[in-house]
Amino acid sequence: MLNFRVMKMKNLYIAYIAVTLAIGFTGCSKPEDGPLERITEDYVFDPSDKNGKYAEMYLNDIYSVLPDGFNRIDGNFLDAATDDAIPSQAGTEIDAIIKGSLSVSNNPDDAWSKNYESIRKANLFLNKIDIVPVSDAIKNTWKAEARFLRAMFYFELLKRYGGIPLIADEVLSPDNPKNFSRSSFEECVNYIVAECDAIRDAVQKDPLPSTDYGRISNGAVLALKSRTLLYAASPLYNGGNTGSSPAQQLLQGYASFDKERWNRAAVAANDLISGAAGKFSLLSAANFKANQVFLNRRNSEVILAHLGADNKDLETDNGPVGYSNPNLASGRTNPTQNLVDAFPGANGRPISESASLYNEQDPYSNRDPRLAQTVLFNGAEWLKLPIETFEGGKDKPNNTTRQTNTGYYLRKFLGNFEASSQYGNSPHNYPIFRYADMLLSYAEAKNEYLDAPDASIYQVLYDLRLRAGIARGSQAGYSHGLKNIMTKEEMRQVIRNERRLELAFEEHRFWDLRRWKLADEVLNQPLAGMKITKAAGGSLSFEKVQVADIAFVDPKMYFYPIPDSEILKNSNLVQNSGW
Amino acid sequence: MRKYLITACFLLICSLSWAQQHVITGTIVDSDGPLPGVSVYQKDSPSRGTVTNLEGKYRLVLDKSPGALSFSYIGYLSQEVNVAGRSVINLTMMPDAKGLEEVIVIGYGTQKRITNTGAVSSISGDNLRQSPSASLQNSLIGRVPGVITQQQSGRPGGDGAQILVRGLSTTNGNGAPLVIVDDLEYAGNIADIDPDQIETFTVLKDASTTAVYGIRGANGVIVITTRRGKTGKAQITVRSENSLQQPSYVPEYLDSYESALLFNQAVNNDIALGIAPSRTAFSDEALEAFKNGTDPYRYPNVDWTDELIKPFSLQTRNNINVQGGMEKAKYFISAGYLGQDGLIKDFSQNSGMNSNYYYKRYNFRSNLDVQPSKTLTLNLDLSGNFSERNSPNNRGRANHDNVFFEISDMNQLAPWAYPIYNPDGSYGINPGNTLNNIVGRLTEYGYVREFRNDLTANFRATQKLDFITQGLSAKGVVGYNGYGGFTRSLTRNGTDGSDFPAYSYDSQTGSYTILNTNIYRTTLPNLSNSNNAGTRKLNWQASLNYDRTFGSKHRIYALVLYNYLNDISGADVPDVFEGYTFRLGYDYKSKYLLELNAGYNGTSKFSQAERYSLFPAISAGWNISEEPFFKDNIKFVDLLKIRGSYGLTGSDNLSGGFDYVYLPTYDRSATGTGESTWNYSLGDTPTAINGIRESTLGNIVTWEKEIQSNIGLELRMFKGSLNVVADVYSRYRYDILQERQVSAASGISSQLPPANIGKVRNRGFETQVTYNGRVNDLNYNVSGNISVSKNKRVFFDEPLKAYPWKTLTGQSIGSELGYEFLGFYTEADIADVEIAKPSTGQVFAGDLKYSDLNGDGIINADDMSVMPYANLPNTILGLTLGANYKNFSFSITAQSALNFSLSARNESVVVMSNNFREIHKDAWTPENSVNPSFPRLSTVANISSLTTLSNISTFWSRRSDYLRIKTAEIAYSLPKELVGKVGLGSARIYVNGYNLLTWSLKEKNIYDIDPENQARSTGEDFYPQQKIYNLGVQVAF
Repeated sequence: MLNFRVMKMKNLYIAYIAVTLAIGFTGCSKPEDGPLERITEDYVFDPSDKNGKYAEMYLNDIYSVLPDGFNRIDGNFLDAATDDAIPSQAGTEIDAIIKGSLSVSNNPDDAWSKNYESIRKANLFLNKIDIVPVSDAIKNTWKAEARFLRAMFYFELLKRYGGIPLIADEVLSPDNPKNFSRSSFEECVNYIVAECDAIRDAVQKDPLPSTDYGRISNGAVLALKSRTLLYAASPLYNGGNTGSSPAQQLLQGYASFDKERWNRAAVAANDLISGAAGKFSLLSAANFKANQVFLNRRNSEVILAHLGADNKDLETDNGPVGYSNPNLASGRTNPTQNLVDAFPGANGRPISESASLYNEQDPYSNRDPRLAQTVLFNGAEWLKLPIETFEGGKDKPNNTTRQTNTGYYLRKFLGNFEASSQYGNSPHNYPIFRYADMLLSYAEAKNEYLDAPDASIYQVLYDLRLRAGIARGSQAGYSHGLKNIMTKEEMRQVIRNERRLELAFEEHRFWDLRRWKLADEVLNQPLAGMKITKAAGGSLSFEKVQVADIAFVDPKMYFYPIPDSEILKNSNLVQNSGW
Repeated sequence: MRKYLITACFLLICSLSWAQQHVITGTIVDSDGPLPGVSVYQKDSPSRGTVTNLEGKYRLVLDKSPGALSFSYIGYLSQEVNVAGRSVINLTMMPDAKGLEEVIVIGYGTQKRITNTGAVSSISGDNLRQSPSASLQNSLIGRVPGVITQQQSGRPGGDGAQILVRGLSTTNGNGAPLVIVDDLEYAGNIADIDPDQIETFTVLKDASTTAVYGIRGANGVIVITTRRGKTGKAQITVRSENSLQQPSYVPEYLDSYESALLFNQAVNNDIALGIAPSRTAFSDEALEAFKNGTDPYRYPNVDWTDELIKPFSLQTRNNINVQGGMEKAKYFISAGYLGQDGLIKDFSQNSGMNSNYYYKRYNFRSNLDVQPSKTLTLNLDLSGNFSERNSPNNRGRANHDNVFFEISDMNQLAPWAYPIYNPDGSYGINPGNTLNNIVGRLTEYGYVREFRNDLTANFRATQKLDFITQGLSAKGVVGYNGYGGFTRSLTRNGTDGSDFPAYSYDSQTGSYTILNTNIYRTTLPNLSNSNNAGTRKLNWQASLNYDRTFGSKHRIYALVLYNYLNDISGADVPDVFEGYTFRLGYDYKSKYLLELNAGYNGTSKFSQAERYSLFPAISAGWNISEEPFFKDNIKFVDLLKIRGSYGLTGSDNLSGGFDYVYLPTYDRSATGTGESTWNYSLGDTPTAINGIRESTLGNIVTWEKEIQSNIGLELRMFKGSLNVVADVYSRYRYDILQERQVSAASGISSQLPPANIGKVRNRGFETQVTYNGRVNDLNYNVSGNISVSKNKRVFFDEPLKAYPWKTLTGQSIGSELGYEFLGFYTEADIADVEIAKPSTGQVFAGDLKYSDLNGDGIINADDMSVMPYANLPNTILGLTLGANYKNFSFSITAQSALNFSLSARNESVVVMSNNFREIHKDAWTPENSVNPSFPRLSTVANISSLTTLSNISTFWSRRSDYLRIKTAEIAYSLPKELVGKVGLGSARIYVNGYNLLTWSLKEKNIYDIDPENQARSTGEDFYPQQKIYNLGVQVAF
């Protein structure tokens, strides 16, 4: 009996210990609820953070998506897919554009996802920033900046694809994915313009304070508006609609031509130009000559640029190949003879005219000084040595695949290393908008609007040429190499060529040829280079040779295809004509 | 000391009722003679027991009211004998011919086979020990129905097969089953469990058996129980095995002459077709020299396989275990050593650093059982292993840091690459080589050595609570598992000969040119190490168990269990798994069976709202053979049972990335640099700005779930001679975490979180038929099994495909797109514009011709369709024959895997990149255009070359179905009288083997590699699978 009771007590005791141990163990080790060190949305947009530190960093990140044109297509400038240049490397992705083999699944310049991701970033910022207790002044500026960036991204989409889906202010989550439809071209233009109008006074005024340089200013807003309207007024969209179905026509331009669109574009450009005093101006001839537009981080000509730290990437990517470490370079983007020939003589007269004093056997002398600022040609000084692009020369040794295909290397944007022994870091900030391009936009739009060019148009060209180093000259009937009286059509040709020269490699030519609806003509011609033969005595002979072909499939390549993956996911998206 | 205290306490309690001693003795025999190891215990006081010794004798001291004695032994029918008035009880044990008492292991408990309602297959430790493979799971292959395995590598310390229970049902993670060792989740590598320690190895396959593991059960569960001590004198068993290992397939490369001929053939083919060859042909002089070996320094002819690889490597396995015990305490102690050597020749012996592949593993286990009282059992198990895995640092080309790759690499190691040694004994080299002399590298480049320590402590207490109600017991488990390790690397990691000198020797001038003029001596090696974060797992379990039979008809059993697992690894958030397990079963006279199982548990990987869930399962069975109408009429059938189960299980084994997906993540640039697009600056002077961006979005998700249904049949006939178990199942995995397809215009297409959207259906069946027979002294058994598992991706939000044949929905997991091979282009085909040609590159007669599915006359990616077979077999067949005759025993297992494909290493067949093999001799030429084995040889890549995945086709992706002799064993037990004379209990000598013979069943193995190889395993891990020939001795004292 006693035995039984003792056993029972003992058993109960052990059971009790077992139970308390089990409970005790678990009770004292409540786990962490998750990874607490992660940055959360609540921490980025924090109602208690008066400094808005992380919110600002979120906005800053959106800046980094601003367009950057340096060697961006698999190591090449986009201009290497125009008649201005060709890539030196065979088999890079840009070939798909050059050879016209662009497809719904292969587009090296596909910007669809990237821009929509950035649009979402801006929308998220706009949706959340009101939570953060920074001052209204700062907050309103930030919001305006985000809206500008968003409008900029839409413009990047618009010029590639035509009308695209407008997301408005919605921040989408994976739970409410939408099957968007494309808005019409007109709606997209109006949206961008309306956004610019809405924020022009909310962003900071020019000139920006020193620490804020690079942020969106009033000038950038006006510039975006101006460029959008310039594009919208252009033949491709304004009267030259390539849409093959009614739905596509809505997406690929306006239904019919309207001359007033040119006026709106001219007014928008003039809006910036007329208020530019004290903010933007052309550089002096001396500074321009010293390439200060591109090598001076902040100058009066750049309105908005993609900013980065100083580096020597451009030099090592594009510099001539005839130098050894540490000046080893890849010579990626090679300007063509076609571009070189577009530069007039030193007096401003086209080289096809005898008055230009152009000499075929001394082709680089007596030329528009901008040629030497854009292209490195044989004999030009570089890193204390003359460039040798004659056959077998150090920069065209013909025993490597990494050398120029045209006889030219890119000079524009590179640091002033003519007399240096070694590449160093220099500012390389891709200009998105600059004053000269606004002037040319104005001139182009105004000329198209008027029946005959007025003095303001001539003035733009005179100003640009003068500061480029083309003097007014003394030839009767000519100023700066231009006829004193031109028809609208003559002026159109002059402006278009001036854009090509002044804005070379700034990603204008590629889009200009499209919006002018000239791509089918210009981009289906052979591209030339210069074959220079050095005789035993040292004398050079020059021969223009065809070095490449370029193909533009008309008319479908006027617009990029909406990516296949996107069409297959979203049946509401209408594909562009021809794809 | 403690034991004495406990014993003293116990004696004190017991002595109160101590009256008289009753001693009983006896001898237990079966039909063959004395039977050692039979448990003998007092029925109402089981702690009072012993086991019979080698002569079958026992002696037991009984208490005052002994009642009945119980005699039991696995495989024999238990007997009970009333003690009253007797002092000697001799018995003959009868074999349990019908196997009705066989007990099988299930989750958190055991069940008699007859009353089990779930799908379970098992293999005993004895059977596992018949295979000499170093990795435990390799011993299961072909022997356990419902297990799909694929051994993808033979690397020492990495040769364990991928193991899947009933195939693959998910696209996340590896589908690996949960492994439970003695109630605890096993954190280590299953390959490291020493088979010497295993009592049973059980695979739980359906919902009724795995639902108790709830969120971790869906991939199936492997339950391993380890061996425990039995009462009696200490038994010491020593086993020693020595094996020879040899690659199952050795790629054979041609010698310089034959390779050069093929090389020239490729060059000449190109020239004839007007293609600019990328290489220059060998001169006639060179060919002549290769052929005659006249100038081995200028025209080397090296058989690299021969020079670098040993024909055999060694494997050693030694174990010792000791077991025994008294009434109150029993023990099983085991220690083992495994050593696997590598196939590289021992070049590094002189450099003082062993850089060959090898693996060393020390295992130990100590299982103690203590019974402080009649009703309390304590178990303390300590186990662990320490391992060391070595591999050479040979610094091969690109990321192929692997000797076996290099041997195949024509660009670095063609037979004519360089002489290994120059006439003066220095290392030879060819100045064109970017890598230094390979023998030099294997000698001087050192090793990477991974050390790993794995420790487990497992404490369990079981208290019977019969005083509350009969059949009730409580159990508590505390388990600790920790592993950690570090890696030590000793290497000379220079490139281009900057670490040891090698010379190119000019046989004509007799001059030597050093590879790198900066280095005339061997440099000092660099030492580095890294620590693995290590993992610590703590597991507590508390359970109540109830099992009682009322009136010998109604049996009710139940289990309630609480389980808590805390898994900490490095700085990661501790992973917590918590839950309850319930089981309720009822059977009526073992005839009608019903069981409910449920796990209610959760894991901290998911958001709080979604953390817990219930995983229920129901199963039922009907033993038709227990029905009187059946029992009385069909006497040759011992057992006929139909059973079925249906239930829900889950899986949180989602491989990395899916933890905490409910939290959105934001990335912050560290200093404004980093990713190039983040390199942004503002201000007049460039000031880097910090950015923050949204990364993967958050999504409230939960684990994967699977509905499993299973119907099974068990049949046992002719007194247990014939056994059939057949199961048909259907598994439907849903809520598989996958990314949605969302229009990129939403801006989130690249930062989508996974969502619970994927669905996979996996259906199959398995059958095992076993027959045991006896002819005079010959016992034999035949066992065949088949396991079929076919999976299909029912849904994975696949975007609409431009062509229906590109759709992967509805295809099995792992399916690939590829071209359909039609034959070789002929001249006529090339001329015929109607016959489709590739969109890029030129095509010529002798190239692979593919079918133009969309009929546009162009062969391009649009014509790639889903290929018929994936890399994972869906059918495994196994056949085991066993026999023993007197002192001899024999067993052999043949295994076959069906319906899968192998597309091997790119490098093993790529012309001009891969050394030539026999297969290339049968390449297409105008003369050999009828059914050649290989397309036209060319020096430039084209549609026919397997350089990129974009050229995958049914020509390269071959059906790899195979049949192989997986294991075989012949053993001889020395006569007891003989071994007794030298003081041994028993001695057994055996030879066995693994992967002994292999036949390809469907298509020619053009790659010369093992058919189980992982598709295109090009990288560092390729190591040929091994055959093993083993000699073993087992001695018991």
